[in-house]
Amino acid sequence: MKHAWNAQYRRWEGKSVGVWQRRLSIARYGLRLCLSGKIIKIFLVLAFAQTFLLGGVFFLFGQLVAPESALLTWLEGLGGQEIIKIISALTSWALLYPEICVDGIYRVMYYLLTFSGPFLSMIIVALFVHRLIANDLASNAIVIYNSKALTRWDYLIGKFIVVSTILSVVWILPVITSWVLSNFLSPDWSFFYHSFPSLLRGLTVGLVAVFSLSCLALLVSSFARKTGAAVAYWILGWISLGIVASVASVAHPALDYISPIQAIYAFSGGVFKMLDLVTDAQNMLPFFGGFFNRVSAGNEPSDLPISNGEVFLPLLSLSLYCIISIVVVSRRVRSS
Amino acid sequence: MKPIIQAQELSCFYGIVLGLNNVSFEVPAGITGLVGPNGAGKSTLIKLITGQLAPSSGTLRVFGESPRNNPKLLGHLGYCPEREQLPKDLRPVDWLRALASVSGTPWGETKVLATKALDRARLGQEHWKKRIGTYSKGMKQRVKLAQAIMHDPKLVVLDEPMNGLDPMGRSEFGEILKELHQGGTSVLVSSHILHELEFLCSGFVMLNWGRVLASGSQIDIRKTVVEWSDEISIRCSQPSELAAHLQAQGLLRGFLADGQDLTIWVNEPENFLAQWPTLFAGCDCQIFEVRNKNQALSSIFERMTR
Repeated sequence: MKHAWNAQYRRWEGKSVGVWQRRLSIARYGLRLCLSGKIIKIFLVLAFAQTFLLGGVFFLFGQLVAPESALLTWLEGLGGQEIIKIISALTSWALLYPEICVDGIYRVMYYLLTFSGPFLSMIIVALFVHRLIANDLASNAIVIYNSKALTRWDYLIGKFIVVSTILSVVWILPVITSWVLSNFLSPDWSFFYHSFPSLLRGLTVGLVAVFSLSCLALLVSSFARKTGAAVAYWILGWISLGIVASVASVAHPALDYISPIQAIYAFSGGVFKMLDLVTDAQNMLPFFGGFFNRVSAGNEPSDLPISNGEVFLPLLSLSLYCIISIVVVSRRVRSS
Repeated sequence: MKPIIQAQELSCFYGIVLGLNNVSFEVPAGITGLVGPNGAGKSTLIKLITGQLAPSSGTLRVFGESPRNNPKLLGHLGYCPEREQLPKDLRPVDWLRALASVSGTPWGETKVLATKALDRARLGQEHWKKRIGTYSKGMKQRVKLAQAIMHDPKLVVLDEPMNGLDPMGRSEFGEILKELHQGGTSVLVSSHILHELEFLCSGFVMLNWGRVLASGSQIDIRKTVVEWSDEISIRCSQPSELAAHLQAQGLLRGFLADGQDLTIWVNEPENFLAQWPTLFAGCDCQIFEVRNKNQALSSIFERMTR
C-alpha cells in the first residue's frame, strides 16, 4: 500500500475514490444525521413491523392450503368436519387456481400496505426533512460543499439517496422481505412463481411512491431557510394539497391528483386492479362467488366501492411534481 | 514562475450591483494577501476563484483552468469561508471525516486526515470530543481551516480568517499559514486589516470598489511610493544608542524609543533612506528593519484610495 503521508510533509498520496463513493459519503453522513432522533427510529421500526404482519398472513395462508400442516390439524381439532370441508375446498382452489388464490392474497395485502404508506411517510419525513437541505442552507454549509470536488448534482443525488433509503423502509422493504420470508416458509415452491406478479406490482407502487415523495421532501427542505420552517412546510403542504384536491375534484375528478397522496392511491389502484381481481375470483371460485353474492346482495363487483384505479393521470401528476422539484431544488443549491 | 491565478478583464455583477469591474492581475505561488475595505470585491473574487460564481465577463484561470463547474480543479483547492458554516450538532472529527470522504479520500483513511488536519490547525485534542456548537469563535475558525487544508490542496483560499481572533490566535494562524507555504501549498488570504498580512504575505492584490489598485510583490508595491514621510520606523537591538548616534550627526528633529522600536523624524527622508547604511555605521547596534511611514502598506493603500 502506498503511504498516506511522507515524513517531510504530510501530503495525501493515496488514490482518490470515485464519484459514486463520494455521493454515498454524502448519503451516509446525511443518514446518520437524519436518523439521530429516537422518535424516527420508533416509526421506522413500526414501518418495518408491517413486514411481519404481511409475512404472518402469507404464512398462515400457506399453512391453510398445505395438506398435513400442523395448523390444519389444530383447526380440525377446534372445528371438526365443517372446518375440514372449508379447508379442503381452499386447498383444492389454491391448487386449481393458484393465479387467483395465491396471487390474490399477496395482491390484497400489498394493496392494503399502500394505505399505511402515506401516513407513515408523512410522519417520518416530517421528523427529518429539516436535516436534509434546510440545515445546510440555514448554516450556509452549502458553501463549503460547493467548494469541494463535487457538483450540485452529486450533492443532490447524495441527499436523494438519504430520503429514498428511509422511505424504502416504509414502501419497499416490507414488500420484498415479506415476499422472501413467506415464500421460503410456503408449502409449495410454486408460491414463488404465482406470487411474483404481486411482488412486481408492490415494487412498482413502492418505487413510484419513494421516488416522488423523495423529490417532494427535497423540494420542501430546500424551500426553508430556517430548519423549523421545513417541518411546517411539509405538514402544511400535505394537509393543504389534500384539501385543495378534494375541493377541486368536485369540479373534475382528475383534479384529485393535485394531491400527491391521492395520486399515489389512484396509481396503486391502477397497478393492483382490485376490481379485476374480485371479478376473476367471483367467476372462477364458486365459494367466493356465493360469498360475494351474500355480502353484496347480488350486486355486480363494479357496484362495490373498489375500482381499478388509474395509471396515466396519477403518474403524470407525480412526474410533474418530480420535475418541478428537481428544477427548483437544483437552483436552490447551486453555488450562486 | 508561472502564476497560479490569472485574471483577464474579469468582471462580475450581481444584477446591477458591481462586484468586480474589469480587473486583470496575476497571483504567483506563495502567500498572497487580498486586501481592501469592506465592499471592495474581495469575497466576490474569492467566490470566483473557488468556482462559486461565474464571471459576468472576462476570464479567470486557476492552475490554468476555469474553476466554475470543475470538480477536478476544486479537489486541489481548499476554501475557508468568512461566515460560520459549521454543523453545531457534530464533533469536528466526524464532520471532517465526512468532508474528506466527499473530497475523494477512502473512508478508512479519513480519520488520519481529519485528526492531522485538526492538529495542523492547532485545535487541542481535549476539544475534539465536544460538539462544534459549544466552540468559541477562535476554535470554530480552526475547524474551518482544518476542513480547508485536510485534503492537502495546492491552493488554500481564506476569506477573512482572522476576524474575531485575539492577537495570540492571529499570530498562531499566521504560523499555520507559513507552515502550509513551507509544505508547498499556496495561500490566498483576504483581510481588510492590512497590517495583519504585512509580515505574512509575499505579494498582494489590493482592491477597492471592484477594481484592482495594485498587485504584485510587497517590494514592487512599495516601489510605487513617490512621496516620503519625515517619519521613519526602525527596529533594532539598541534604539537609544542608535538615536544618540544619529542625533550626534545632526540628522534628527525628534525621536521616540519603545522597546526595540525607534521612531525618528528627519529633515530629508529620501536622502536618509538612500544612505542609512552609511549613516548607521559606527553604531554598535543590530538593525532589523528600516521603513518609511509611507512605505507601510496601509499608508500606500490610503494614498491609492484618496
